[in-house]
Amino acid sequence: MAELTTETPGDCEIVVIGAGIVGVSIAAALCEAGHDVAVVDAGSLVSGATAAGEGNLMLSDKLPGPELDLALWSLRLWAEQAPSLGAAIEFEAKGGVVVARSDSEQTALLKVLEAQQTQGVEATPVSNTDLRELEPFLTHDVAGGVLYPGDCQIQPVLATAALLKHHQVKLFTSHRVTTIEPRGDGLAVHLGEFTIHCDWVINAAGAWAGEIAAAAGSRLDIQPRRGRILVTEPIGRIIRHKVYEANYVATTQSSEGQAQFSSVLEGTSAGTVLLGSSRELAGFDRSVSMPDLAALARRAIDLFPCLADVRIMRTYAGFRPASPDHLPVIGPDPLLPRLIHASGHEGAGIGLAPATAQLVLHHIDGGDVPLNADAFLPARFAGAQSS
Amino acid sequence: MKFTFDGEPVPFSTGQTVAAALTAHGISTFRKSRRLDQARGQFCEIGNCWECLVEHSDGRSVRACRTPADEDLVLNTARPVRDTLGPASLPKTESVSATVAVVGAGPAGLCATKALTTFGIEVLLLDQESAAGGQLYRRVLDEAPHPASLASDDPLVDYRPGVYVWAAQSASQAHQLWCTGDEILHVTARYVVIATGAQELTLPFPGWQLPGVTTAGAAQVLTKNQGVDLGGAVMIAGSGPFLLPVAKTLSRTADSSWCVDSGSFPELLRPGFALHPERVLAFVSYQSALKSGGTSVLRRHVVAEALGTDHLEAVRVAPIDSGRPDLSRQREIGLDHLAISHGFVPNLDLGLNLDCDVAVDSVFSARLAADAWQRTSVEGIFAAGESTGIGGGPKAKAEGRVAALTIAAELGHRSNTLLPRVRSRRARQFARLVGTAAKPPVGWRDLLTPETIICRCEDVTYGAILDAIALGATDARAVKGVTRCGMGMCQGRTCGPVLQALVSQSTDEPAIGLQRRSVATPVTLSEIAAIGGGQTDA
Repeated sequence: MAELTTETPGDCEIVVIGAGIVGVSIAAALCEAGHDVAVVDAGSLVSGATAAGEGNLMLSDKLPGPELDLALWSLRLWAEQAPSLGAAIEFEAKGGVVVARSDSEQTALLKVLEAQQTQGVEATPVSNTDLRELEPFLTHDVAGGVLYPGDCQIQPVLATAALLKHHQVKLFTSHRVTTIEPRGDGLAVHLGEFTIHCDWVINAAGAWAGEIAAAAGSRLDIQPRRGRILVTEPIGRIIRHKVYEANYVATTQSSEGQAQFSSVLEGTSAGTVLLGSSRELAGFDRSVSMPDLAALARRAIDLFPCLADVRIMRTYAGFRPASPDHLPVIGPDPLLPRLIHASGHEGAGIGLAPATAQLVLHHIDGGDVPLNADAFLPARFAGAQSS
Repeated sequence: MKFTFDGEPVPFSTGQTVAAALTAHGISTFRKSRRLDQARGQFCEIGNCWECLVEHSDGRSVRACRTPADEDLVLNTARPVRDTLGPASLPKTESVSATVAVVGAGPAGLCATKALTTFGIEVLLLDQESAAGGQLYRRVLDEAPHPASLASDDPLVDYRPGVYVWAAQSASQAHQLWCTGDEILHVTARYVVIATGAQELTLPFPGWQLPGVTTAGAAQVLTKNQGVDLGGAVMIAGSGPFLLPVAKTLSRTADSSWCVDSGSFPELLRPGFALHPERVLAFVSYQSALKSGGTSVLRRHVVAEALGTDHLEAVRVAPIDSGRPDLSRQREIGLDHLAISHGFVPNLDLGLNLDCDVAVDSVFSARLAADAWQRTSVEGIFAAGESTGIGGGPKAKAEGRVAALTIAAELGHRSNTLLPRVRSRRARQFARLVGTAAKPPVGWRDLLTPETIICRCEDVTYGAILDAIALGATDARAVKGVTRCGMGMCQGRTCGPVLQALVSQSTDEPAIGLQRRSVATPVTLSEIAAIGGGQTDA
């Protein structure tokens, strides 16, 4: 079992900043490769987006391009590591269903599907009648949809806890990074009164990754893209797949700052149903917006009318780490190559965590990766930054 | 009159709740727990703990303690999850504007309301109970309401019983409250008086989840207000002055009764109490009533374990030595009912949702911060009574009056708050004395075993919580995420303060972790959808 270290953080080879699922996945991969790693977090375990989202391991919402390659690889890695982490992580290969409300939406879905298939995604168009068989409680007012058998689900908090435990990762909570500076061949990480000397620093601070880059005297443009979720009382498995509206993919790719809504519904092993989603650039503001909650509720009822009578227990607000081009940022900082960024996953960090961990390992140890790692390098923004 | 439970007719009297009628009929298992499939029954009797869920014939699970018994009712033992869903309907929301909204019709809220109306100020009085009076002046079955509880038929008072404020937002001159329950309301108010009272603090020990173990408040409500005779062998255990009135009530109907006090009543009598002779007298008269009523009093003892399979059969009590239970010297006492209490914690939901500052004196004492005029940190929001710190009826009444008079003055009326301010200061002074004397015993954690249930809704054990803390979940929110402690229907009302105390050794976060609830009570999705008129967004 992992130890809660009451001793002060000491020097080590690699410091990972951020005890969310991305940071812990990276630490786990590095430990497995024989490195000496410590994770530090300003808060507790999973105090950021990991605990505020759904457990999406999705291919269906990835448009063709580098992120789809990363997702295909990452979902394979999830399926491989899930058995060793045990049933507690609630891994389910349940499949995803995207619902089109109009013929034009269905046409658009099929176009995306075709492109995804050429990159190796398995998917089948489904008719209105098929949909009702897949999701008996779904509204009848649908044009059709697409079934993605490869979409999966986990419980992200439990998965993070299981990774930490399984790989005996050293974790120091309540340690905020103040500055990072070059020291000899490596780096010095200042945590208030403590300093850790190390060879590498991994920035997996999620929506706060820009602050970590700034603490190192560098720059990384990561914005918090706020999302909200409603959680129901425990009910039976009335929603069988991961179900979402066709406009969801468009909202993930949008750079609109105003609140956007798209239904994403997920039944969990605990019996609760998670009702999302919203996207909004509003800083780190956790306050509740009643119109936002109402919009989420209306859209959920619109898709599953039987939910109207179900009680809501709580709501979450969380902050997705959003990069300017909606692609993750994974690789060495252009100014400080011993600082490796691993953020910008926006709403896909849960799914992309294992592949992100392998990419970080690649940047430290070398070795082959089954995709073009350059697509995710922070250096791609270097031109824009200097102008 | 009878209703049906699991196919069996259950008799009830007018005004009885389903929970009380089932208890009177000898049925103590209302549901099976979610993960461990354990028998569970009523625990708090006032709507806080959600332990008493039963299944309605329409598939909804309802709290038996909140459901009035009725001949048409067909109920069953609640299953772990609900799988039949009701019809969709968009509820009608009524919009109400008020100069002053008083939330809670207990002593503080009623005094505030009464004082406001003497100035001709209109008051919207919202209360979660079906009859005014709060916990102190709770109505007895079908008797007339307690005289102090009368929400006057004054035309200035718009009294709305049976509603709960599930969401609230502060905005200058126009604070917003969303209410659920018997009516669905959207309230806009220039002033809000938070008089939402307190709930009982109950510290866990092995077996405390057995049917037959309830809070002291529940035992009090059942016997005093709901006409249920808790006969047989009955025990009240815990700490704090509330043990005394409950012990007195229980001794009336019990065949044999016990009072187990983990603190020490004599220590309640401290030098400062000389300034409060009326309270000392009350205390002494309770003591002598216990003696003459034949109650066996065990001082400096704790209930270390409750024993039984589907119902309480016995307890093990242990003496306290130097502040800690001595588990090597336990003895067994056969019991039919055990009532537990470790004092009260302020109800902070509404204040937190209105962004009011909270003061934390010790781990179980987070309260809304209010000045001598009962003003919170937010303009136009006042707090009175138990929500600003536990102090009982006199403090609540005086503070309610101060809040009302201050609001009246702000509205341009001539009012003088001096006398009630002196009274409320005196009452607070007394409360502080009791607060320091009646702390839960230091060694309450010594009773916990890895198998002890901490979160009753989700069957989360002490062992699971320790594992999570050891893993690095060092604050209450993280432990909640890893273990589901506090994620159940009661939304952490029962286990929240306990979890906070358990993690407080590894973190210095303020002790309100789980008490911040964006949804203050479970509310249907359709009610949320109806906010803002229910128009669909673009």
